[in-house]
Parts: sequence; structure tokens; C-alpha cells
Amino acid sequence: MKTIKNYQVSIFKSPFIALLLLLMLCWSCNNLFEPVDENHRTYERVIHTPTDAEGLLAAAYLRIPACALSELDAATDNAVSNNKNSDMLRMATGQWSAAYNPVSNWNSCFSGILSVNQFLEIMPDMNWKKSVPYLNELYLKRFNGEAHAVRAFLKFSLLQAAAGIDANGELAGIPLVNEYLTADADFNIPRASFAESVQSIYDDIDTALVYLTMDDYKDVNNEADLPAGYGKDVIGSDEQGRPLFSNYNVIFGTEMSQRISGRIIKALRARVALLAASPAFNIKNDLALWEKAAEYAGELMKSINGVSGLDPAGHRWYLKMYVDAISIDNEQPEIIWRRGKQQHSENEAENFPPTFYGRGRINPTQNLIEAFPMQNGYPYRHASAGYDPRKPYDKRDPRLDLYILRNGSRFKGTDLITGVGGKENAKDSVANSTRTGYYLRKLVVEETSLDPIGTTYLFHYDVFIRWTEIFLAYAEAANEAWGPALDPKAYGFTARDIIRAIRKRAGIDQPDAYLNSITGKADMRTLIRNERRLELCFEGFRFWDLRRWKENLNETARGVEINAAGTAFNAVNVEQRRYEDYMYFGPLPQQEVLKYNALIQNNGW
Amino acid sequence: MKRIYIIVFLGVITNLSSVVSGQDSLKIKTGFTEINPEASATAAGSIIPDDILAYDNIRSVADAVTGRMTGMTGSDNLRGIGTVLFVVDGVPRDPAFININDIEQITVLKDVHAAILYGNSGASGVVLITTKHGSGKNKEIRVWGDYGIAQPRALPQYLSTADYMENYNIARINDGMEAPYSDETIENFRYGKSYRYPSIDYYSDEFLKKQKTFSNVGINLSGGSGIASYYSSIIWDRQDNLLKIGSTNFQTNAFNFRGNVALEVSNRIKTSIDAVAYFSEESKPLINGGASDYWTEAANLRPDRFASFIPIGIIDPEVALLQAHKLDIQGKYLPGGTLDVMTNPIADIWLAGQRQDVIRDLSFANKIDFDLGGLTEGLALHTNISFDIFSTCNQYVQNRYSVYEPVWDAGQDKVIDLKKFGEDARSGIQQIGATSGQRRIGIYLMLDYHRTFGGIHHLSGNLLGYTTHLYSTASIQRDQNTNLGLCLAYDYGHRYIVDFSAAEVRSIKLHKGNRTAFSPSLALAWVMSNENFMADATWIDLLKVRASAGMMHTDASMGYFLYESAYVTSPVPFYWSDRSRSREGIMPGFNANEQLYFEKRKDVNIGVEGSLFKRTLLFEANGFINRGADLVTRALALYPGYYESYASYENYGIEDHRGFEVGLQYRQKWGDFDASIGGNILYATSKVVQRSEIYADSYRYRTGKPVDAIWGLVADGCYADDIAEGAIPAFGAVQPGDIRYIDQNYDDVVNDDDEKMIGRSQAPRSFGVNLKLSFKGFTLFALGTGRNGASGILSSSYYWAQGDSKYSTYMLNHWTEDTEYSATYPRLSSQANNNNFRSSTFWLYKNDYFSIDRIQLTYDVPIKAGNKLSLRNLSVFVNAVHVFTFSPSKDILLLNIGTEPQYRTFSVGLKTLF
Repeated sequence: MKTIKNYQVSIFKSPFIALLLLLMLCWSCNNLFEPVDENHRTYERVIHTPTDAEGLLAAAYLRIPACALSELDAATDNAVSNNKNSDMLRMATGQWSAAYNPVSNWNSCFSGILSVNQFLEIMPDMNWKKSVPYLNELYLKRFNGEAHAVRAFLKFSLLQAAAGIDANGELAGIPLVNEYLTADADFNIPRASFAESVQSIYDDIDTALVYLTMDDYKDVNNEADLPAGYGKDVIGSDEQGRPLFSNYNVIFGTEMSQRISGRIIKALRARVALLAASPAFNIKNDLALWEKAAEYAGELMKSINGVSGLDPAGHRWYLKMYVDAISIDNEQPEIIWRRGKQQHSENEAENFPPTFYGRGRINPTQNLIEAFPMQNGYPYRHASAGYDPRKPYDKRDPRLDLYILRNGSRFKGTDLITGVGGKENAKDSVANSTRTGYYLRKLVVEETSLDPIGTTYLFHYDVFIRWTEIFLAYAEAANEAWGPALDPKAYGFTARDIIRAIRKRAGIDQPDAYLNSITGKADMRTLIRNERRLELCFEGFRFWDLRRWKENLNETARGVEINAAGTAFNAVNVEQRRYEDYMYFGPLPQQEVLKYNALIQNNGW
Repeated sequence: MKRIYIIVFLGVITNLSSVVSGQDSLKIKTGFTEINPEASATAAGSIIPDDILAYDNIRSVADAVTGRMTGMTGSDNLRGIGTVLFVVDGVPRDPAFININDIEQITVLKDVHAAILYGNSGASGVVLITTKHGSGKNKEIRVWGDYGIAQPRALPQYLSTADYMENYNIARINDGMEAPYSDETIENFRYGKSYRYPSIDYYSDEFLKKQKTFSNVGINLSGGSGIASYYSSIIWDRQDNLLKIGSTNFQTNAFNFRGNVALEVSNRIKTSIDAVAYFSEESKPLINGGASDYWTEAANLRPDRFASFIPIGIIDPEVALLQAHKLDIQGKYLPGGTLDVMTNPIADIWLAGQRQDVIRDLSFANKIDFDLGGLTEGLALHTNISFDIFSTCNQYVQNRYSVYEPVWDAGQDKVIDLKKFGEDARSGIQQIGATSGQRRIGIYLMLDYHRTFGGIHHLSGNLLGYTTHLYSTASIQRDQNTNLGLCLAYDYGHRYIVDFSAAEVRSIKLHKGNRTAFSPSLALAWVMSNENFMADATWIDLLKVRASAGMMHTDASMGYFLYESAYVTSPVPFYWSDRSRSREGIMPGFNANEQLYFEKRKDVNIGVEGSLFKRTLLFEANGFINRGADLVTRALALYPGYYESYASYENYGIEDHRGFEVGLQYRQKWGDFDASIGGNILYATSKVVQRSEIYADSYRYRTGKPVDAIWGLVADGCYADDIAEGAIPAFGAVQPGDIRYIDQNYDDVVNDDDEKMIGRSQAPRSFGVNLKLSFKGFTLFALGTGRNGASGILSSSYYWAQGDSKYSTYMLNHWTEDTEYSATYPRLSSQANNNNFRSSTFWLYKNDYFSIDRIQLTYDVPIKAGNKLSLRNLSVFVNAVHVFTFSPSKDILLLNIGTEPQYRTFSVGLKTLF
């Protein structure tokens, strides 16, 4: 024993051995050898932190596509892109496939749905405001409504892009995922039928409407304005027995605007019903589906008194004077759901003609120009049109000049020349020049300056749903269900009334002789579809509309060549469309079909 | 008993074999300790830069290693497995900042067995560098200098404006559009010499010099007496810039200061202090606000876009913009430009300001060696603490200038008006950008033991505690490498060697319960030449066979906290109430996996090495199998696409590398004539054994193919008038002259599903050869390297002329109806052509080459002993570097696009030793 002790002493007397032992100690000393805490947001943190939990819902909100300025029209007969690497160009000219699908929203929307489902799971136990039980309950109601509504939006987007006749010849919808999936879940989920998928959206909408009974988020200060289901018993009352409006206003007040409210859900329902009634999906042309679509839109329009509720500026709501004027207390009547106002110049940088420092990306086609009627309402080819081929832009529907920059347009104080002699702005002269002879004017703010010395950033906002879409949905569905002139539900407006109002608003001469001349359902259908094309151009509708209508996808995109004098206009082909017949329905992602045998691909892909 | 117990715990760091490298090196320095290579069981090789410098004026560690080390390909890759870890004086450091003259020895540790002590980050091999230290023996002063020129080996050749226009017209007509340039315009640009018809060649002698110069001078002093020894050196490296225009200050200067002092404190304690400072400053023009450089711009700006500058003399003096202008080029020119190109590199060089890229590297180390012979014989303790600071930044004062587009007189070459874009502004504010910094602390402590019992039992061992912490401005986490290593070696009569080494690797990247891993390895060697039965074979100096197997754990490729679940915030928040309210979206990053563990490198080596005929012939051969297992990855094929961001990190992937290497060195003397020739070859291949992937067609699976496989379509010539036949390409409409591809899966569509393996990017065969001839003070040396079996894909804008990009001469032999059978390039297109410009065999080139990297003629001037200057050695040399390359793809290999060219250099110099 003695020797051992002496030996230990000698070791510790040696400072160097002590140093070595110190290093060994450090080995086990975790403070020195720990990673820097990066303050990660782990699952445990998310389920215990209200702001993080609400972030799951926010993430799903962010997945909902807006109908903002969209390059998607460049994959239709409405436009081409001058970006040689544009996905739209590649898709429209024959490269669309299950492996290369620029319009796929499969992963994005399902991620959003999983996020909502996870939110719905952890929401009930979360401490939203447990110190004030009334508020906590109100939070739960709004979140329940919002979550189901967001899910309905995402399912609709999926359905639009992926529903179709599958390889087995069945009209298939999407896999229905209504629960959060853990890593060990069975992901081999088959697609529900189209009808089941639509019903699943309606179910989510119905659930959302149980909670979100208010049309809009507005502060309420008297009992009569409280929406259904939000009486004193729910929002609480003070000592005098008066409802505690402050509780309601915290959860459902004006400050919540631009989140999903009851009216937005009903607008979505009209959109869903229109898709379900459309020729591509309503194979037997079941008129009851059209009727349902007409009713969902009609009921909603009734709430703003039908045609008289149509916003007179609803076709040019994006102009600077309107955008600058709005606020959450003073909304543009046209808008049902929008994003917040924001100053930027992205749309302009992308689309201004090159001499205005823009990239001139979206180039409207001659095809679209020809879709605009004359000021007198007649199609330009009609015998009564009064069209002069030497002055093709004269006496046209004012929307043409509102939405499109053409040769001779007055833009930012100068006359735009896209014909010979127009330098950079002339067709095909530099990389940023138009390929068709036209530039985009809609949704860009003309007052913007992109000059590097003094660039200005003006207000814009993105729209999710606006009234014109609902009006047009009604017109389309009512015409199919009841014909142009019948109003069996006594809404006080017919399909023709709607179209008249929209054309009148656009500035078509009244009385609208051409409209009056149309009596048959089929002719009316053509006119409604054309109006929809014009009113909703460059907002991402046309690509899907052509498909649900089963119309020709392969109209060659054309442009115009103009001589230096501006007197000769020669229409030329610009870009072939190369869609196959099966491309009326989009593909499911190739990788997913490979991985999961229960997932049947759409026919042809 | 107790003593023996302790002894067993100690051990020796593995002895490293002398290897065939043309060197007569005996002692090998491992960074931690110094050992005898005679009796070692591992595969390693060593070189001494000073020996090489005697006949080859290498400038860097890369020069020293390339082609000379058996098993290395290029300057930093070992056996094709990956980039090696460079360890300088025991600490991982960047070798780029060490002057080769300051290096005493470079050692490559090839098998896992040898590298295991370096832990984690040494999984792909380790290169050890030991710097020079003074020895107590004799005073030495070395002074050397050289001066040389560097010439571009190749410069890109782009079409002139007229040629561009002609070809662009063809491209537009091919696309069914009108030709934008009239014949008259083209003729004007072809023959018009004025600024009105710009045709700018950024690579011409108008802007670039034929060559740039460089020089290197240095001095080092070493020596010592009694208890102290020292080493000190100062080296200055300079090279100028290839740009002909702009400031003459455009050059790079680097200074290297290095010094160390060692003291014998007592007869059992030695200590030394090292200090190193490196400064380099590169002055160059500020191009595009620092976002670009001359070479990038030169490769992208078309010759016709604008005149880079407009002579003031040809502008009408009455033009108001001319009178109002503030900035011009030397009072003679206005900078040119257009609406969409408001800067240009030529004007930038003159007007935008100068930029300095600065690198500073400081390091400091303290070493103490204790002889613990008092405790037990043969025992020693070494400590080393080092501290490094490394920082880079660039500094500039940016000026903005306006550019002018001339409006030409209809008849004469006179500018009658100007259009101005941008504005002149001198900010006067010094900007400091791209700052980054690192600091590193390295500590190691080692107990070292060597002892021989009974003259025949050699026992050695060591126990090593080792940690380095790298703090970098790029990351919140310090990069940490902590390791506890043990080596035990037993050598019976220098005949049988058993060598066990092990490391307890530690990682802070893993969950608490999984942070350490035990990495063992065992090596055996039999030195046959020391056996009695070989005693008669006197022509055999050394013959050794050896084998090793080891497994290393590494976390080098992992991130931090991958074992925890993580949610991330959305790129933008969800806003409402007109953006006055917002909530960040919370999105999945990955799920938790607390079982996440180290990746493994399993390595088996067998080898033989020897020396014959009194070191006339040296040889070495090794075979290796190296498996990377449990590679951390996300098994994405197991989940739907929308679930990928939930997928956790797992130990899933497996990759194999295998191959062999052989080295030979032969030396013969005939009187005054001394010749030596040597070579080495490496065969290395690899295979993906397990990877999470899913494809429709079996040939697309990466599993079973080399790690470095190149994937692409198989081209089948160009379409002619047979477009309607065969599979339909899915990359856009095709027309005659577009590339046709083989439909591998017979589904009548050519798309990504038809991609298969079309080559390998890493050469399976690589080799180096060297030749040295000496006669009466003259020495001629040559070194060649080569590769075989690798391919590359041409994909830069130089080869893919599409859209509105700049056209190079490469596309001149493009497809037309007339050249249908001889064209080497598809038809031209002014659009983005996704059919032609994608990875396919059409663009595949062979990356095989043999290159004579270095040739040098050295003359050792005869010195009289005891001369007045005490000069001991004087040599002069001329050398040529990167002069000859033989390759079927020489034009491609020598050409840099968008970066500074490759250079061939010629230099003269002298070296002295006092």
C-alpha cells in the first residue's frame, strides 16, 4: 500500500502529468465540448409555443396560390414569353411531362395539407389565451374555421391540376389526407374518385362555415351585428349583461382582415362547384351540377344585391389611383380576398418594354387582340363590326388599350412603337423585345420608374378572389343550367344580365346590340367564355379554363408585324403549341407514381 | 508489475515505412513525433522538399506532391476517395500559405491505420507537413531568388462582330425568324475600322499582355549552439497582372515570415516557440462593383454590343453631355455602353476604382518535450499548443460613372450626339467587403514510449490526446476535432511487426448518448529481408510484406443537430391586415433521429515494399479496399415528395472504393553520370453500393455504378429529313440539325428517363513519371503526369452557343444542309435549345492526357572549400513548367472559360547556401 501511495504522490507532483490528467478530465467535461446552442425549433417547442403552432397554419396559408400577375398565360393562346428559358415556353412547346411539370403543386399543396392537419391535432390543447377562457374558445373557433378553409383551398388547387381520367379510365381525384402522417404511416394512398374529392372539399367548407359565420372581419359594436353563433354566451358579457364586443373584436375584428372569412369560403365553394360542373369533369353533363354552381355563386351575389353590386372599377382595380386609395377600412368593392399592399417594382421590371428598363417578358398574342370586340360590341370579324384592317386598334373594346400595349399606345408620355423603326421596343430586336408586337399593360403600374437613377416602388397587391370571377362563374353556370335568360331562383339576374353589366362596365356601347342578338345557350356560352378570357387575362385562369372546357389547346400563338409607317399589319405565327390530347388533365408527379403503386397516373402521362 | 502495467498503456505511434518516392529519407516526421521507418506496418510515403528543390524549383506543396506520391492523384486527392486532410505541424491548416522552402518534410498517410489518430476529418487520407526548425549543429544561411514569366496556355477565341452577325442570322432563320442583320451591316462591321462598328476582342493584345512576370526571393537562417537553436525565414513572392490597361499597380505581393526558437531548459526539458506571419495583397480592378471580374465579363460580353470607349476627338464638341461630363478615360475617351449594359469591364478598369484582396494569416505555437526517462526508461511527454488567426477581406473605393451611347452622323464617322446612362459619382467611401476570418486553437498532449528489451523485443507506444477547435465567421459552430488515440507496437527482431492503433473519436454533432466511437485498426508486417534464410540474398536490402485493416468513425460530412427534429421558418411570413400583422410560417426541416451515428470508413490494405541492389531499385505496391458505410443521408425514396422535408437524417448510404498502386524508382551511376528514373501508377475505381433512389428504368439507378458516374443521353447524330422517324424528343420541337438521342426504354419518347451512365468524371488510371540525369554538376530533371479513363461534358457558354449568347469559334462547323455529313456541331438557334444543350454523349470528351509538368536544368557551380564568403553551395537553374500536354482533348483541357487562363511558366534562378 505504501508504495502505491508514494507512486501516486510522485505522479501528482509532476505538473506535466497533472496537465495530462487535466486534458483527460476535459474529455469528460461537456461544457468545453458542446455544440453552440442554435436554439433550434424542435417538434417539442412547436407543440408548446402558440406562435409556432399558429405558424403551421401560416405555412399552409402561404401555400395557397394567388391569382396574381401570372406567367401561366404564356402557356396558352393568350401570350408568349420572351424569356428563352421560360418554363411556360418549355411546357407549351412540347416538354410538359410527369417528370417536368412547371404547374405541379402536388408537393406544395400536400405539404400545406399536412401542416394544417398537424395544426388541427395540436390546436385544441394549446394555450391560446387560457387566462381568458372566452378568448381561448374564440381562438379555437377561428382557427378551426380557418384551418378547414385553408385545407379546402389547397385541395381545390390539387384537384384543378391533377384530377382527370386515370389509366384505368376512371375519373379520379386526389388522395384524401385528412390527418397528419407520421414517418411510419402508410403513404401508399390511392386517389379518391373525383366526386369524393369534391365532396371532401365541400365537407371542409361546411365545417369552416360552422365557425366562420361572418362575411368579413369587421369590428362589431352592437349586438345586432354579431354574426350567428357569437352571442353573449360565446363571447362573454360584462357586469351590465352587455356582450363583451372587445372579446369578439380581438378574434374576429377588422384587424383580422385578409385572413379567410365566411364570404371567402363561399366564393371558394362557387369556384369548386364550377370546376365540378365543367365539361372535362362533368362527363354526362349533369345539369344539377351546373345548377349547384349557379346557386353557390348566385347566393353570394345576392348578398351584394346582384348586378348593382358590381364594382364599376372592377376591371381596372389595379390602377395606381385605386390601389393607393384602399385600406382595410376602405376596401375596393371588387376584392373578396387579397394580400396586403406592398411597394415593389417586380411586375414592371419583368414587363415594361425595354426602353423603359423592363424585360418585356409577357407578350400578349394577336389571338388575344382578336378576342377583344369592337367598341360597338361586335366581334371584329362580324359584318357589323366596322373593323378597319389598316387601323386595327381603332374603335375597339376599351379593355384592349387598358390591358395591352400595342403599336401606337401612349405609355409614360410617349408613343410606343413595336413595328419597324421602334428600336429596342420593336418586335424581335433585342433579347428583351416583344416577340408578338405587344407588351403587357394589365397589372403593371405605369407610373413606376425603373430608371436606375430614381427607381420608384409603387403599391401593388395580389388578389386571391375577386367579384368579377364570381359573376362570370354565375353567368357560365346559369347559362348551362337555365339558359341565357331564365332566373328560376329569383335572384333578380340572369346570365345575360351579368354579361351585359360586365360589358357595359368595360365601355361597350349601349344598347349592346350584339349581346341582344344572342339568344341560344351555345352562342351565349361562346360569348361568356370570351368575356371570361378578357376580364381574367394574365391572372392565371386561361390555362385551366381551356382544359375544363375541353377547348383547343393548340391555337398557334400569333403576333403582328407592322411596317415603319404603321399602316400595314401582318399577322405571323410566333410559337406553336404542342399539347397532346391527354393534356386536358395534368400529370401526377412521376416520382410519386413510381413510389406508390396505389397511385394511378392520369391517362396518357 | 506496476511499471509494466503502465507500459502496456503506452505505445508507439506507428512506424511509417519509407516509400518509393525517389528520396533517401530515413526518419519520418508525423507531426506528433519522429519515428524510424525501417520497422513499420503501414502504407505511407514521404518526401523532403529541400532534396527536390536541389533540382526542381517547386513553389508549393501541390507542386511537390503532384506526380511524385504513389497513391495520390493531383495535388490533394488520395486514391480517388476524397480530399485529404492537410496537417501542418500537428494541426489541420491550409498548406497554400506555407512556402515550400520552409517545409522540412511532407508525408502521405494512405491507409486508415495510419490516419486514424487524426480522427474524424482524416477519413479520406492525411498529408502531414512538418516545417523547418533549427538544429543545434551548424549554422546555415540560404539565400535564393528566381524570376520568370507566365504565358497563357490558351485563350478563348470568340467570333468577331461580323462573323457573329452572319451566324446569328443563320440561327434566326433556323428558328423561322427574319435575319436581323443585313449584308451591308455585316460588311460595315467587317471592314469598318471605326468605333462606329465595334468588334471588341477582350482577349486581344489591346487589353492583355503576352505574359506576366513573377519573382520569388527569400532568405533563411538556421543554427544553434549548446542549449538554443533557431530558424528564421523571410520570403517575398510577387506576380503582376495580365491586364495591359489600367493601373500598373495591379499585382499580387505575398510576404512570409517564419521563425522559431528552441531551448533546452534542462537536460530533460526542451521547449520551442514558433511564430508565422503571412500577408498577401492582390490589387486588381473593381469590376462590376466587385460582383464580377475581367475574365467573367470577357466571356459573356458580345463583341457587337457597344464600343467600350468613344474617342472624345470624334465627338462634336458642342454636344452638351460632352461638355458636362465629369469622368473620362485619360482625357481621351468616354466610356461606352447602352441602356441594358451600363458598366463594362474596360471602363471599370479605368474608372471604377481599384480593389485590394487581402489575406492575413498568423500563427503561434508552443511546444514542450519532457524526457520522462526518470519515471521509466524510454518514456517522453510532448505538449503542443497552437493558435492561428486567418482573415481575408477586400477593400475598395467605388466610383460610379455614366456610359454613353453615340449617335453617329449619317455620313462621316462623327458623333453628333450622345445618350447618357447612369451617373458620375465618386463616393469617396472606403468599402470593406467579403470579410471572413478563422481562428484555430490546437492542443495535443502525447506520452511517447520506445524501449528495446533484450536487444530483440522492441516495444513502443503512445497515448495521444488531441483537440482542435476552428472558429469561423462563416458558422456559429466551431469545427471541432477531438480525439484520444492509442498506438501499441511490438517488433520482434525487426522481422515481425504487430501494430495496433485505436482512437476514441468524439463528435459534438451527435446526440449525447452517441458522441464517442471507438475506431480500431491492426497492421501486421513481415520484414522478410531480415530473416536468416534470406541472409545470403545480399542483393535484397529490404523486402517487406504488410497488411492492415481498420475502421475509422467520422462526422466530417455531417451538420450540427441533425439528430433533433427541426422546423424552419418560411422565406416570407404570412401577412394580414395590410401587412401590419404577420406570422412566420413554420415548416418542417427534418424529423428527429436520436440514433444518428458516425459514418464509417472501413479500410483493408495489403502491400509489399522493398529495396534491391543497394538501393538501386526501390519498389512499392499496395492494394486497397475502402468502404464508406452508414453514410448520413435522407432516405427520400422512402417517402412521398411532400414528406421529404420531414424525412430524418439516417445512416444509410454505402460506397466502395478499391484499387491498387505501384511505384518504382531506379537509379544507376556510371562514373560522373548519374541517372534515375521512376514512376507510379494508381488504379482506383468506386461503386455506389446503397443509396435511396427510385427510377422507372433500372439503368438509371446510381446504385452499382461508380460514385463519379456521368449521366446523360446517348446521342445518335443529328436529325436530317428523318424527323418523323423514331422516338419523339420531349425537349421541344426538333428540326434538321438538332441532336437525335437513343430511346433507351423504347417508350417512343426521348426524355430524362433515357439517361444512362455515359462516362466517369474521375480517372480510374493516373500516373506520374520522373527522370533525373546528372553529369558533372549539370542536372536535367523532368516530371510528367497523366490520366486515362475519365471524361467530361462540355457545357459552358463557350461550347453551348444558344439564345443571344456570345459565339465562339467552336460552333463554326455547325450543321447546315450542306454540311450535313461533316458538321461537328448541331444547327444554330437563337432560342434556348433544350434538346441540344443537355448532358449527352454529343458533348462528351475524353479527359485523357499526358503532361510534361516540369523540366529543369540545374548547374551546381563548383565551390572552393573555405572561400572568403564561406559559400558552401551555389546553383543556378532554368526551368519550364506546364509546357507540353498531349491529349485528344488538348484544346478543351487547356482552355479556361470565364476565369484567368492557365499559364505555362519559364524561370531562371539561383540558390546559395552559406
